[in-house]
Amino acid sequence: MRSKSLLFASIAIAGSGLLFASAAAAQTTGTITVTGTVGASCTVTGTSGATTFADTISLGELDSVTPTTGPVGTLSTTLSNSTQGSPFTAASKSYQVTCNSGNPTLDVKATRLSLPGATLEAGYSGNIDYSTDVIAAKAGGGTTTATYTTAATLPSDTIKVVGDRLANAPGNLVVHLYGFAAENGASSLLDSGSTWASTITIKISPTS
Amino acid sequence: MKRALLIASTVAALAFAGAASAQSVTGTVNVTGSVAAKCFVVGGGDPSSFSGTIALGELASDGTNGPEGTLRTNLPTAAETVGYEATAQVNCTSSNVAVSLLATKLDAGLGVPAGSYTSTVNYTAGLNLLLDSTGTGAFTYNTLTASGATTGTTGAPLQNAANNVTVSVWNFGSQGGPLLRAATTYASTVTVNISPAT
Repeated sequence: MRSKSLLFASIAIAGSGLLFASAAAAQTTGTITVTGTVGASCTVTGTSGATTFADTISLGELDSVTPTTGPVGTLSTTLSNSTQGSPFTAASKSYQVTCNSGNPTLDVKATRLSLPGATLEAGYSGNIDYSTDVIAAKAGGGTTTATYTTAATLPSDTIKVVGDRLANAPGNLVVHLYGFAAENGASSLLDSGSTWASTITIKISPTS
Repeated sequence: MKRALLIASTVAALAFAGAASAQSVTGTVNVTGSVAAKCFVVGGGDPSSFSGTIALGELASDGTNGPEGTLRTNLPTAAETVGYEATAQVNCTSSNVAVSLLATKLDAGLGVPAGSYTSTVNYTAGLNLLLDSTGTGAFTYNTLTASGATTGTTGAPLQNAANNVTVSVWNFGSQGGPLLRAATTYASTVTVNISPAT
C-alpha cells in the first residue's frame, strides 16, 4: 500500500516536465545593448582613488645667520638668489598624479610666506614673496610649467593646460620654489617667529 | 518583452553617465619657515660685540674750569654731548629688546688716596636707543648710586638704522678729594648688553 502511493507521485512529476517542454517551444529574441563610460578623472598615485594630497616644505631658518649668506637678520641669499633656472632645490617636491584624460589642466595659487601678527615697522619685513613652479611631465616627452608668484595683492590662479597626457610615471608633478624677496627690500630685517607659513594649492583636472 | 528590455538598458546607461563627472586632484603644500630672535652688530667683524672709546682727555682743571687740580667743570652735564659718546648699529629681529647697562667708576687704580686727594671719579652712563614707532629708549647708570645693572625692555623694535645705539657719559664728580691724583690711566668700562625679549 505504501509503495503504491510513491509510484503515483513519481508519475505526476514527470507529467509536469512534459508541460514545461511544451511551453519552451515558442521562442522570443531579446537584444540587449551593453554600454559603458569612463569618466575623466585624476587621482593621486599611491593611494587608491585619492583626490587630495598634502605635504609640507620646511624652509628652516629664513634669515641669514652668518655674513656668508647676506647681512645677518635679512633674508638669506640662499633663498633670495634662487631663480627659476636655479630654484631652491632643498624645497623641491615631486608627486605622481594620474589622469585618464588626454589633456589635464593645472591650476596653481599660493599665499605669501608670512608671519602672523608681525609688526611692519620700517626696515623690517613680515612677508616674503616667492614664485612656485608646478611642472608636469608629459607622456610624449617634455614638460609644461605653471608659475605663480605671490604679491601683496595676490594675483588670480595660474591656469595652464598640459597639452598632452601626463606621463604615467613617478614624480610626474614637480614643485619648485624660488625668487624669494622680503616685502621691504633685501636690507630689511625679518621679524622673528617660528610660524612663518604659506600655502600652495595645486589642482589638476581633466580638461573639459 | 523586448521593449521592456531596451528601456531597462537605456536607463542603466544614463545612470553611468551621471557618475562619470570629471574628478580632479587637489594638492595642498604648506611652506613653513622660522626666524630666530637674535640681536647682532651691523658692520665690524664680530656680530656679537662692539667696542668704542670715549676719551675724556685731561680730567683736572688748569684753573680755567674750576680750581686747579680738581675735576674740571667743563665735562658734559647732559646725555649725548658731542665728543662724549660712542655709537654703533645693533639690529634685533625681535619686536622687543632687553637691555642691561653697567659701568665702573673712572678710576686710576691707586687705591684710596689720603687727605684731600682722590683717584676716583663717578659719572652717569647713558644708553640711548633709536626705536621704531616709539622714538627712543633711554637707560642710565650712575656709578655713585647704582647697586646693580640697570635693566629694562624697549617695548618696541630697534630701528634698523645706522647709529641706533648711543652710549654717552656725563654728570662727572670726584669721589672724595677734591684734588685728582696724577695718572695717565684713569679708566672705566661701560658694558651694554642688548638681547631679544619676548
